[in-house]
Amino acid sequence: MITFRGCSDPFFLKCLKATLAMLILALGTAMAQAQEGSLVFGIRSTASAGGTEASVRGGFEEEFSLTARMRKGVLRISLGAAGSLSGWYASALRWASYSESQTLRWSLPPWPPDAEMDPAPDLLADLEIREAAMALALPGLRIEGGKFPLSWGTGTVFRPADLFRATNPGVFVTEARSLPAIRCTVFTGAMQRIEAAAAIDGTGTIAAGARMFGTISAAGFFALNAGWRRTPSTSGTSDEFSVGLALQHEWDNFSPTVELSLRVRDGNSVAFVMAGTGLTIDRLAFRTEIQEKIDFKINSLLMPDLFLIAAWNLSDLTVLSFPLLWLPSSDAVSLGASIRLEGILRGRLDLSGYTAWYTRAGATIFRWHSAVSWTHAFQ
Amino acid sequence: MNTWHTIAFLLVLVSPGHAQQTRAIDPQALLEEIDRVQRYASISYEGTMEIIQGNRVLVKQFTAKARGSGLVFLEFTNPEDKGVRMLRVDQAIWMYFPTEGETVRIAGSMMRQGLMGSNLSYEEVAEGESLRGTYAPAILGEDTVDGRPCILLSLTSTRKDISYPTRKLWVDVERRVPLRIELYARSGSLMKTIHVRAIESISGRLLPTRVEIVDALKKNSRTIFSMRSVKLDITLPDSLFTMETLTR
Repeated sequence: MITFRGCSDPFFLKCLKATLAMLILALGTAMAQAQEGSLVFGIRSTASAGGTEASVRGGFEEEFSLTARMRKGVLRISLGAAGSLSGWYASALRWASYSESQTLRWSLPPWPPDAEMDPAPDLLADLEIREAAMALALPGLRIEGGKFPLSWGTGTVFRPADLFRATNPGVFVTEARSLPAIRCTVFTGAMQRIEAAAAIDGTGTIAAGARMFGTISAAGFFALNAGWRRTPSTSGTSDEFSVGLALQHEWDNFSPTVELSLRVRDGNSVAFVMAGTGLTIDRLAFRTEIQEKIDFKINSLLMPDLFLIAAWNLSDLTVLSFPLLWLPSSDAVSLGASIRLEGILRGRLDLSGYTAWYTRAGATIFRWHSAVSWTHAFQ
Repeated sequence: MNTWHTIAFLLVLVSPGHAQQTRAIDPQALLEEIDRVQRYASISYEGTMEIIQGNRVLVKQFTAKARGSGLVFLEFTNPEDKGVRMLRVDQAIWMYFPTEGETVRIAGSMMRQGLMGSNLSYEEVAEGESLRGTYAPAILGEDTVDGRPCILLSLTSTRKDISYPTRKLWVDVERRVPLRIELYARSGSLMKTIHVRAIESISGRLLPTRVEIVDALKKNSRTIFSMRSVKLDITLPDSLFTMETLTR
């Protein structure tokens, strides 16, 4: 077992400082040469009335950010503003919320017209409705409609059982997408529920399905789902039918998760299997996930996709993490490093960087990205 | 009881009694007395955690409701974590993150990590058994804490499924409330020290409303936990401790 009982001795402090210095140096170097580097300052505040006990309550939240991004010698500055309103009434209408973000962006100098990357315009005014939803609830029943986060599954990166999330997103941490959707949930027990949901995303993909979520005594849970997804294709549309299972079980400190998805599209059957587990040794935490695609038509196994992250809790307020994502099926591998320092100038400082190698049109492309951000919240 | 709850329970003043000489006190009776008084039916409060490391401070605010020894519901209210909820049902801990719209069960491998970055682990939050049923008490002697005479009570357990097999409690002789608690690992190493910083009279009990938790393994690291708007023995319905409320 690794322990840091000697953390108060000078040697540990020297090691810690050296580690941080190396990380900052690496990021600084990356910033100087990177294809893409960004610096983000954020400020966020909330105001609410009614308190959590009130039958009527509401809140307002806004967030401002200033992002400077250097890419291929072009400085791109973005101003972002986001706001949200929420209300809650302890009667039939249980909650309603609305949030939107507004981004203004311009580039100095203008983005080269022949640039192969980033087709985004130099001047951009972008409005995005993040969430606009309301819910009706009766005891044991809830109906929600609007645009809201919708996510199924258990994996950090690989979620084959998630009907509403793209497979193999290729990034270290994926957040649930906020989608125009409706969802009906029946709570069949204290920790059990059955839900049916339908959603459409920005690409025109329509998905609908039902899921049963339950616990396995006190040692885990399962989620069984079935669904249908229609995606636009060059020949019109393509329908896919799927059944999925997500499972998590505890054996002492060992708690593996498994997700299985069987999909049928145009007569072809494909299965995705994800297995993941975590391990904590003192202040080191590991999480690994592998995902295998099984094509019954080809009847062969490929190298599985792999995600691994090691997080080192240097202290309660400092976490250093190293994610690795390897996607043999896409000829892509990404390796990153990030450090999160809470309580810096009453805010949070994030430094991160990652490198990626991937193959496109037969050529191997190397890309690296680094970012520094500081966020402060008011209430 | 959860740890925040447990902290309160650990430090709850037993019914004010007569000052007694240490040698006349039966440790088992003292522990039973502490346990009995700690077993209030339910509690609700607004809590604040200040996680401090050197000159860096992270503040977490939340509302908490707990009933019996196994049901806890928390909702975070500080801007960074607004809407994040935690439900504990016996030994299982579930979290709800509004950005995901999904529930997450805290895996066993994560149970020793700090809850929301604090010096309280999920494992400690999940512990809920009474001291009497878990530990064998012994009185080690007398001491003083902040100038107040205390009984030094040692608690030991041979069970392997608890976070701290040994605890030491400095119990105020006059007020019969622990003013300091030390938590030890199986190896005998000191892991954490809990200091009571403020005590208030609530519903006829003396309740510690501000405590400081110092992690012995982390240099310059401590968490100050405070409670306000505390209500004891209130009615908390079953529906509060369900997936329906967690995801509302």
